[in-house]
Amino acid sequence: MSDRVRLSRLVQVFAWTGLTSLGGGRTAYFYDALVMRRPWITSREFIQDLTISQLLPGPSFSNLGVALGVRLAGGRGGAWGALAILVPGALILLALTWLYFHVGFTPKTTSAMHGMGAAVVGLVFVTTGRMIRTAVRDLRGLLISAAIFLLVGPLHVNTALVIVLVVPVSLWLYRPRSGS
Amino acid sequence: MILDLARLTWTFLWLSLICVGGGLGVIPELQRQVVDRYHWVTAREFLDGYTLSQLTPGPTMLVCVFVGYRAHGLPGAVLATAAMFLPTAIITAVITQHWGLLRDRPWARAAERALACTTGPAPPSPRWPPA
Repeated sequence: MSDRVRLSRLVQVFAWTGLTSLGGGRTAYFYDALVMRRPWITSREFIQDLTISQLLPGPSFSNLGVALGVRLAGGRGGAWGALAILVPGALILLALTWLYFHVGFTPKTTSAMHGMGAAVVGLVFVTTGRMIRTAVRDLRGLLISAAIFLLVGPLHVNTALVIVLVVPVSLWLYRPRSGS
Repeated sequence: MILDLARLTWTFLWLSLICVGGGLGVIPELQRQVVDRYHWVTAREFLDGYTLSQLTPGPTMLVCVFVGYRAHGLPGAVLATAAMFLPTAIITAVITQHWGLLRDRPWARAAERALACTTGPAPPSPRWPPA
């Protein structure tokens, strides 16, 4: 498998995207950077990597960095991709932690977080729309995604539990059939 | 001190392995372990650390930097972060590399289609802690 992008370029883009993805909806920033702005990854590939990163154990954002990095530049791409999205944030948080415990800095969060949250809603909305067009292609897909939306959203059921319950149903609906 | 560092590392390691479908589901258990069980941070500190990690770029689970630093300074922060992210990153790297080879089998294609519609459109998990 040959590398799609140079490692230095991958680190640069991952680090910048990681650093600028504030206010939740972090997956949407990666979709924007790697699928929409650059011809690095197709929408279908992105959804595959997102799916794997959410199903495997571990924080899904770093898993996504690994999966996308592996796809773009092999094992080294996975390692450097994960470091590029983790290390800058970890260093910033370490500095804030030091300020918190040694200087008495306290997060005044509500207004700042609400402001960032509002700014990111549009991007998440657009990205979700584009991903749905790729991921949901028939009635089965529509039923599965609507069930998950209702359970996780309005009904507030634990996400992990919903995945454990719904994934087997989805696998059964999409089982390979002879002749298809 | 060494024993407690090992305990800290082990706690973040097994917590990382039960993070499925994002990190938010594990936050209540994380709080139970680091506040109530081992007293590495107080409840107030945990809430502030969680908020700081939300304000910081990168995954929310970077809150392990905050807890690790409070418990054992820089070594604590480094070990907690490595335990949280390294093993699961290796698992993901190995599986995604091998998945590329299996992708063309009929059952693998069917699984990809089945799984895509379960995670692509899922809304963000309910916020924790509640406002």
